[in-house]
Amino acid sequence: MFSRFLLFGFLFFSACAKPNYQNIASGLTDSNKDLSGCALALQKINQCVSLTWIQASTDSQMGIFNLEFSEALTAEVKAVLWMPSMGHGSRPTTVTRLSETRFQISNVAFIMPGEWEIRIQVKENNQVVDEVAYKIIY
Amino acid sequence: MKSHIKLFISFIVFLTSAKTFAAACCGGGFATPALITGDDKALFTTTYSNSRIDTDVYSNGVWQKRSGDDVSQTYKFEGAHIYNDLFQFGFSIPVQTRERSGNLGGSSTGLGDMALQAGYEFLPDWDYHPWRPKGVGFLTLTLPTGKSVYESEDALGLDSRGRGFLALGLGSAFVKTFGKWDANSTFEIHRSFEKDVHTSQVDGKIKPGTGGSLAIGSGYSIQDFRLGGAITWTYEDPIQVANNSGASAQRFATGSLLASSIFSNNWAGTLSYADQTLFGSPTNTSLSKSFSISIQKRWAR
Repeated sequence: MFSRFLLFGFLFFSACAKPNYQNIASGLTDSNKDLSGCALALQKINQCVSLTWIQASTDSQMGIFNLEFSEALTAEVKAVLWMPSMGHGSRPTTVTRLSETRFQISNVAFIMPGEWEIRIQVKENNQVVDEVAYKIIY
Repeated sequence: MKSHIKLFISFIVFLTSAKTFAAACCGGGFATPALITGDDKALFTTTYSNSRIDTDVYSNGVWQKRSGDDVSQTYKFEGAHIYNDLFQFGFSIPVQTRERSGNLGGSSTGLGDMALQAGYEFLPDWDYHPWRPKGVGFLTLTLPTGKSVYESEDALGLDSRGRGFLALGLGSAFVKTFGKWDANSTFEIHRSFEKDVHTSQVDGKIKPGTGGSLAIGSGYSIQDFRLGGAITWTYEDPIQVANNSGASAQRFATGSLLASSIFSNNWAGTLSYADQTLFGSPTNTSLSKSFSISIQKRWAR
């Protein structure tokens, strides 16, 4: 009986988890910010876009950010929130055109913490003509 | 005494199935209804469980403590009935309430993924063999009655209460008593079927893969009480979503502690605690800690 207990105990404790915790402050961590030059290049339409957070997305508020394109853009812009590892997205964001080169994206809500992408899409005739992903950890 | 022990073993198999396939993230996981593994004709179980997400684990294995509250309360109704001695049929109906804290939070209640089950006792234990276990094989059909995370339009996905796929599972449960000690094991594999989704976030086919789980448990009985524990390892293939790549497999382990007691007239109750942060090497999932209480009525053959 004692040997059975020992065997069960060994199996039990050898299965213990080994947590690898990461300390992340609340709010957004921008993994793209240390890139130099054009961090977000739309190569097909030969444009560079920069992303600036106006209001962080948290459990208590929806996020807002601005997109600044390097040249005037007449096409439609969309920002899709996507969690690649899980294979799902979040609710649609709202895009407001501020000028020929600047757009504001609001209603940014991530449904769970983890590795996310903000997929910035340029669309013409309802077709995506170019796309770039901005990676963040929420 | 022997009948008591059998009843307890039936319990642990029931709870292992019910709890350990429960969701790591976003609604429910693959569900297996109650199995009759004792000498009963039928059983009916109601379970209340309260589950709180404790930690999120990224696809690279890094853990992050969840700061806000994300709580699920589930009321589950399960039943099973013997047919022609060795066959059995069962069902599972979960009703879930999800709650998130914060200004964007709120709550949402609705049906989770229902499941139907057929079982066959392929390894009876009529002669109380000293070491050969009783074995019950089962087929499970999970119905996508709970909205999946792909179909959710809520800001925090609170209305996602299921995996959202039609799934067919195949598995087996083994139970054996050794005096006051008992041991049990359940394994199952399941295949989820692809579906078309047309929402604001997905427009096309979603292709899930194969998943499975293995549970190993043991317990000790003292008269009408039983204390037990179990560990269940769960795996799910990556889900391929229309025109998107990069999804990762999900993996987690659930440790459970159970305390059961028999009351009169074949009524029984069980308290359990399940923790997904204790065992295994989880990846790409959310880990929960859960309490549950269940009341079970059984009818003898």
